[in-house]
Amino acid sequence: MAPQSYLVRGLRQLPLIALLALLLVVLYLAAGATTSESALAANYPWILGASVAALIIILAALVNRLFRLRQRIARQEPGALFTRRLVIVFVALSIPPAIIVFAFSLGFLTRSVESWFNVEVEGALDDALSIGQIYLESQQKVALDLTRQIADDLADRDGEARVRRLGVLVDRYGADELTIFGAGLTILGTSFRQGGDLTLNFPNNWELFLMRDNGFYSGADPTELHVRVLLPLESRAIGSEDAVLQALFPWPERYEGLAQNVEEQYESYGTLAFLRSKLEQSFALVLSLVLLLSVLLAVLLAFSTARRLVRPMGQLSQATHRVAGGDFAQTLPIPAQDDLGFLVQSFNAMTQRLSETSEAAERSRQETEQQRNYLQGLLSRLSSGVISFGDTGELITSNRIAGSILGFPETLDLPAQAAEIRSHCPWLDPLLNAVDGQRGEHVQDWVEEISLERGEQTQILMCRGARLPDSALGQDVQVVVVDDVTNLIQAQREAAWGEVARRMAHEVKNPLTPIQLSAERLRRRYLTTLPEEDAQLLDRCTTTIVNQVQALKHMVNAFSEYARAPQLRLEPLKLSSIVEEVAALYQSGDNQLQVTTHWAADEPNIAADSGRMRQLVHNLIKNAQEAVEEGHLELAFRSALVNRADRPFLALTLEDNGPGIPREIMDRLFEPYATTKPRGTGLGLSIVKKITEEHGGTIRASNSAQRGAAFTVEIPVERREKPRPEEQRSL
Amino acid sequence: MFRVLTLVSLAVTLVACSGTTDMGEIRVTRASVDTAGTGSRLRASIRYDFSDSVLDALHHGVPLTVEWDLELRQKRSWLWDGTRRRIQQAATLSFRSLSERYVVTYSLTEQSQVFPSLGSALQALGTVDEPVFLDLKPEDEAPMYLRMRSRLDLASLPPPLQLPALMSSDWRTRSSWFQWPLSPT
Repeated sequence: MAPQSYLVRGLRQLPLIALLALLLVVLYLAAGATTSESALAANYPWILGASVAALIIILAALVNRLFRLRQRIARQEPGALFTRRLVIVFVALSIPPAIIVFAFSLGFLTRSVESWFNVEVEGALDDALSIGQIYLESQQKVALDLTRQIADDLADRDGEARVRRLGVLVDRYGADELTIFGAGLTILGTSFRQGGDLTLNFPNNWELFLMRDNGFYSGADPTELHVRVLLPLESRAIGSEDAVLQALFPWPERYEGLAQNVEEQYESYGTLAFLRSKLEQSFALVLSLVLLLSVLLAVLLAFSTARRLVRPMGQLSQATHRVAGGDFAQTLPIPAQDDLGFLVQSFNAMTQRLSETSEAAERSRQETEQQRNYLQGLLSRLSSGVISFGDTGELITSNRIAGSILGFPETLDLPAQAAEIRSHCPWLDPLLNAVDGQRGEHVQDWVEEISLERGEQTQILMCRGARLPDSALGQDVQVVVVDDVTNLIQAQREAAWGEVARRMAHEVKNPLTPIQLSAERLRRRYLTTLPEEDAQLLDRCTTTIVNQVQALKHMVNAFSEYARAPQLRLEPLKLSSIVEEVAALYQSGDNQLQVTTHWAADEPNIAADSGRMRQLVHNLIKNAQEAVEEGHLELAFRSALVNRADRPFLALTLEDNGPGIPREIMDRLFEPYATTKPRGTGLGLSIVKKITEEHGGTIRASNSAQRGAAFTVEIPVERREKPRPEEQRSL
Repeated sequence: MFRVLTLVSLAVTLVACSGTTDMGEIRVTRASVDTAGTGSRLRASIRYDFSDSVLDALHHGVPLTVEWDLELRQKRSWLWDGTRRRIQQAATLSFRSLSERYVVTYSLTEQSQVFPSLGSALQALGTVDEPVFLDLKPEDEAPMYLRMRSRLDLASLPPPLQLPALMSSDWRTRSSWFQWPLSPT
């Protein structure tokens, strides 16, 4: 603690120290109250008054503190109840012993004062005083007799003879002084004892008055310790009646000391007896003041002690509240090197440790959060769906791709029970059944290809499952990685068909021309030479061979076209223009079709090869034409702008009024030879799909409830084209 | 706490109520300063009429100290009057039980006078005939006056008696001021 703090604390204690000093002064005065010898005796009432004033000040301070304590208790401040308890304890501890000491002290002092007074002592002192007075009276009579003898001796003398006679008589009668006063106390003659005090001692008026009244005066002088005798001196010689003879006789030497002692003791005893009740009252008053001051100081000390104790405890309490609220950066000043200081020191060490631990935990949490965010980011960017199931089959987590692959509704809240998932997504039954089948502690990793029937399409999933412990949940979870391999399998099939087509074009096309040439040669050579019947047979056979070879060539060309990977010449173009251009070709001639169009407003360009696009539209129209063999063909074209993976696509939809796509070929509609039509190679839609994919687009087919089949081709919009936001429609 | 306060108040009440039989009186009956000649001389008569409580204390060996104050004051127009000089003297009256004499001792000279009766002692105590030095200056023009009073000095009493004496009218004996103008020299 800084020296300034000690100084401030010392100054704060100054009034208390002053009051304590005053208390000691009062005690000192009480000890010396029986005598007037104390240096502070003259100021005794003022010191008592100061004590009462100090008492009132302390009482006022106490009332003030009690009032503030009551307010603190009402406000439920920390430490207020402790202060009240401490004050009560201090008062309970200080008042009983103080009262006991007060009562015993008062009783003891009263008995002590009473013990000073004793009837026998008082009687003895009275007797001693009476003896002294009797002896003194006898001395006064003796002195009077002696003085009368001296007066008689001087009566016949006058003038110088009288004065000289005084010197003789002083020694003869043992007087200290013999003086003859004239009128107005003029000194007519005086004589002192040899070796005695030469100071003339005049009688006062009252003594002279008594002498004239009684004819003599004989009295003891307690101050000079002699007996003064005054007699009117008649001088027969001079006839003067105004002269006064004064004779001073000393008290007997032995009597002088004894008489003084007796007188002092008698007067001292008398004073004490007179002051007896006052002494007791004074003691009671001083003791009461001391008691009150002690008790009030004890209570004030209780407040002071409580404040010193409560301040760090209050700080400790507030700091504890803040620590409980999560603020660990709490360091309290150490009040002193005592138990409380040790407690505060331990608290500081604890908060420091908590702070360090909290910081470490926060760092760990941040790292975990970063890892979790990284993992979530990773999972969200995975092309595979990742889902996890709990012990009871509930779906715990799912990344975005999984939701997209599996078709979770947006309203599905995780975790979700299996029954809830089944009710929202019935197509997921095979997946959930597979997961259920893999539950159990013995199952570790599993791989399974699962087909989901979603409407008219079949979705093929490759699922890989594994059991992983989850410390947060306290259980094992089954993590399933889901890959949609539908397109992959489709691509594999298409690749196989492409290889077949290439081999057919290469292996089959080469012998066809020799076959055709051979058949035509046989026809030319033998048709005219053979008999009619044989000639007809030859004609039919060669015609059949040539036609079939033509058919084979046509088929091989188609396969060659399918397998061909032409160099695209991309250019910006309006798909609606291509559609209307190709459709116009079909609207001429006998077999006209009815075409309706609904193009997107401000249709963007697409980057496409115009020739391949024409072939695409042509194949679609031709496919519809072949599907509707009888009746009037109606085609409806419409286009719209859509977003796929944050990229704009132009979606071209063609709807016909045909019988629709049979369900049995829906899954392999775009594969070669996937056709139910009596005519056609079965490669038209395969080529459409191939051209679409060459341009980075997709194609899907569906059956419309009102009309026949519907094909939707989505081609990316040219990148320079910036579609307006209001035209975008997220699917 | 209440009990202690009760004890204190009881003690104070007892002290205050003790000895209220009669009230004493001190009165300056005459005073003058004779400035003729080389010096000034104060002549005054003071009547000391102590109460029975005071006399009882005297006869039980408690010496009584009386003081008289003489003030030379100057009148001022806008302020209260100023004190130019203050002279204070004291004398102690005691009773000697052995000789049954009253002794008056003057504090200034430390001389004592012995009197056979209380009346003679009080009369001697009340007779003031003392030379005083007023320190008058020729340039003093403002009207000046003298005043005198006497009182019983309670601070010289034994400590146990002081507080009761302060609280008792028997003991709170003090004369009023006796005032007279200063005669021009």
